[in-house]
This record gives sequence, structure tokens and C-alpha cells, in this order.
Amino acid sequence: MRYDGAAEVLHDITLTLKSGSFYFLTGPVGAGKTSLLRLLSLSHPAYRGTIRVFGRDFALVGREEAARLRQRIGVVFQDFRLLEHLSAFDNVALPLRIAGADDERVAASVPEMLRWLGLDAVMEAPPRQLSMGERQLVCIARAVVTRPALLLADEPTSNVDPERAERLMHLFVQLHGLGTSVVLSTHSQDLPRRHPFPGLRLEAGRLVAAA
Amino acid sequence: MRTLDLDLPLDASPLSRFMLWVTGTLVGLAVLAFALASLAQGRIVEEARRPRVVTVALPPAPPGEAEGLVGRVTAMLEREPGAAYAAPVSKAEIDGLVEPLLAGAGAGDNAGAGAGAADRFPLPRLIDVAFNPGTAPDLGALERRVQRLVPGSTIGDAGPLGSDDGRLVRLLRALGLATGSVFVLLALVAVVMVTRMSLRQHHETVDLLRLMGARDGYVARQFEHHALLGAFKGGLIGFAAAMLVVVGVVHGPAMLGDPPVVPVRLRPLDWVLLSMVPVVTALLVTLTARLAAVLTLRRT
Repeated sequence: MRYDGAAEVLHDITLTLKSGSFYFLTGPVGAGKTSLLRLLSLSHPAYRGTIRVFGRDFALVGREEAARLRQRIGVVFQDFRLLEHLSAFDNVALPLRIAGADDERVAASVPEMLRWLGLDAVMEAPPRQLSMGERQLVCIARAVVTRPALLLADEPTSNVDPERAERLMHLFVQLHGLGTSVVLSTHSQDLPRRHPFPGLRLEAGRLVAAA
Repeated sequence: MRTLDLDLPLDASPLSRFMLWVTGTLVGLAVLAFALASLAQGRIVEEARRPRVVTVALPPAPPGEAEGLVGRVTAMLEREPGAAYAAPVSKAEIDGLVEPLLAGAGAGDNAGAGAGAADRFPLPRLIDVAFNPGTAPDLGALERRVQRLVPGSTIGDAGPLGSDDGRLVRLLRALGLATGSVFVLLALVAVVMVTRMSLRQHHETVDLLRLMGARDGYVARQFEHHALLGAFKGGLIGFAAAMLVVVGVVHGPAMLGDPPVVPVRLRPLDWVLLSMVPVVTALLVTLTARLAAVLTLRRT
């Protein structure tokens, strides 16, 4: 993979993610974790090689099918990427509306998701009125509200204290228990030690370990 | 919860306010231009409803032959398709027509200078021919036919449709339609430019929506809804301003007690059509915004 003609940031990666699995994506800062997640989230094309998602070669699918495939993937961004002009409710409702859910389903699913994450008191608040922790939870709620088949979380615990990090991990494990495949990137070595999930380790853009 | 389906913060953008005023101004100008076209069209329709009268002038002929020629030509003119009637202008009327000329030329100072002029001077004999409203006689061909009977005859067309006034009115109608269309077109061009700029401005949000699986149509719908609201608001402002001007021009002189230099009047249908200008423009703007967004998104 490369960005706009720059040097390659990922090289020679061959990797198969099993359905319903949970992976830690580890590696030092700059190893290419975010770039790999971008490839997996279909937000960036592969410079060379092949990306097959849900059995489809991404390079060969049309725009409509690409959109459908992306709707089956939830992404938790390191910088949250919430829309500041929308309330927490509407931020979480976005993927549902994009997928064509009617108002009834939105009105049922979003409050349920926000309540599950303890955000029912801030449902109508815009992101600027939320704490960092609340913003992160809204971002997670948005990523999982459609019950995606694959959840990609980019360093979700990097900016929080150990106690909140553990709570978030518990959340991801619960989602995994509901059948969602999870790839969680972290530069922490502590989290993978405490949770017995297979790991993918990147160093300088190369996959050096896949368990 | 939101009430409008807008994920992009388009309302908060300065481009949004720019578009509102551009649409308002251009719709206002378009309404004025189309009002001009409507007024001109009203004049044309009004004239077309009147019978068209042309005058055939026969050259002077010896007294013994003149009446016979006038009778033959009149009979021929009555048989013309679309002719309502053909009637020779009486000698008294001819006397009345030449009276000012003779008085001015010093032929006499009294009011009866023209009396008997038709008999005293070698004046042409005139025949008025009235054509039914809606008929378009070929006056050139008619003149040639009359000349075959009486060489040297001519046809004078005093009807406004054939005159310079008629051409001016038609020109004003064409000008109004053309400039009105140009203003609407400019509004569409502005929408294309603003849509492209907005897409660039909000590209991060657009990328996010796409990452969540938004199709081009979903993103384009945001621009479509925003353009529809903006165009309606701007269009109504422009329409209201233009209507004040139109009402002032049409009814102002009468309200002030001055007769207008040129009587102008808008028919009920014209008011309906003019009120459709902001509506149609808003719909065109909406469609254009959607197309511009879809086409731009497909290239990215």
C-alpha cells in the first residue's frame, strides 16, 4: 500500500481473517497498523495485490457493491471523527440511515445502543458537549449500531486510563460474543497479554507474526 | 433528533448564504425579463385579435374610367381569402385626408380647403380591405394581383404587426425570453460551481459517509435537499422583489393618475406563469445540484 505515489507503507502481507474471530493488531507507532485497517475497511485501494472481503475481490466490485460491503464493516476511529453539527443520537443513527433503515428502526436501535453504553443522558448533546470518553463511546456506538460483520478499532484504548481501557475491552469482547469479527489495533503490550486472542504483529510495514 | 436529512453541515457554510442571494437575484431578474416578454406577448395577442386593415391605392385615372376600376378591384379584394370586407374610401374622406396638406400649402386658409379635392386634383383612389383576425394575407402577392388589374397600384399596411412597432414588440418579447432564460441558466451554473466547492470543502465528511457505505446518491441527496430549500427561499425573495417592480410598472401610472405612455397589461395567465418562475427554477436548481454532485463524486 502507498499514499499518493509516496513510498510503500505495507509490504508483502498475506493474511486471512477468520469469520467470528478476534485479533489484536499490534506493533510500534508507525508500523502500519492504521494503514492495514484502512485497507481492511475498504477506504483505500491496494497499490498492488488483492483484498478479498466477504469473499469478494474489492478491485473487481462496482461502486454499488463496494458501498454494500462497507455497510457490513464498522470502524472505530482513533480520532473519533464525529460530525460536530449532529447530536450523539444522529451520529449513531448515521450508518443505519445510510443503510436505508426507516425511522422506526432508527428510533428503536439508537437509544438501545446508547443506553447499553451508558450514554442515554447525552443522547441529544452535540459532540462538543461530550467528554473524551463519551465521544469515544459514541464513536463505538456508531460503529456497531448496524451489527456489522467486521469491526475494526484503531487504537481505541490509546487515550484512556487503564480502567476505561478495560471497560472498552469488555465491550469489544461482548460484541465479539454476539458474532462480530473484531480487529483491534493497539501499541499496548499489556492488553494482548490479559486477553487470550490471537495477534497480528506489524513492524516497519511487514507482518512479522500472525497467530 | 433531526428533522432534515442533512449529514453534511451545508447550512453553516458561507457558500450556502452566497447561493441564497445569487438565486434570489437571478430569479428576480428572470421574472423581470419574462414579465417584459409577457407584456410584449400581450400586445401581440391584442393586435392579432383586431381585424387587419390595409389600404389599396389606385393611381389617378381619367374620370370616366376611375369608378369602373375601383369597382373591379373592390370585387376582386372581396373574394380574397380571409377578407371581411373591401370598401372604397369615399371622396369626402379623401377630401378630409388632403385638407391639412392643402391648407398648409397655401391652397386656402379656411377650414374647407380640401372640399372637392378628389375631383379637382389627380388623387389616387383608395380602397380599405379588412382581413379577419388570425389571417395572414400575403400582401406582396396581393399587390401583384391588383397591379395586374391596375398597373401602378400599391398597398399600404398601417397594421402594427407589419410596422416598426410590431417588429419592436416582437424583438422585446424575444429579448425578454432570451435574457430570462440566461438568468435561469446562470443560476444553474452557480449551483454547479457551489456544489463542487461544497464537495471539496466537506470532503472529509463525504469520505466518512462513504466509509460507512453511503452511495453517491445518498451524498448527492444532501446537496439536492439543501439546494431545494435554498432555491425556494432565494427564489421567493427574488420573486417578491421583482413583483413589486412589475406591479409598479403595470399599475403605477394608473394609481398616480397619469395615463401610461404605452398601455401595458398582464393577463391572468401571465401572472400564473411568472409565479411559476421561482418554482421551476428551484426544481431545476435541485436537479442540477444532484447531477453535479453525482458526477463529481463519480470522478473521486
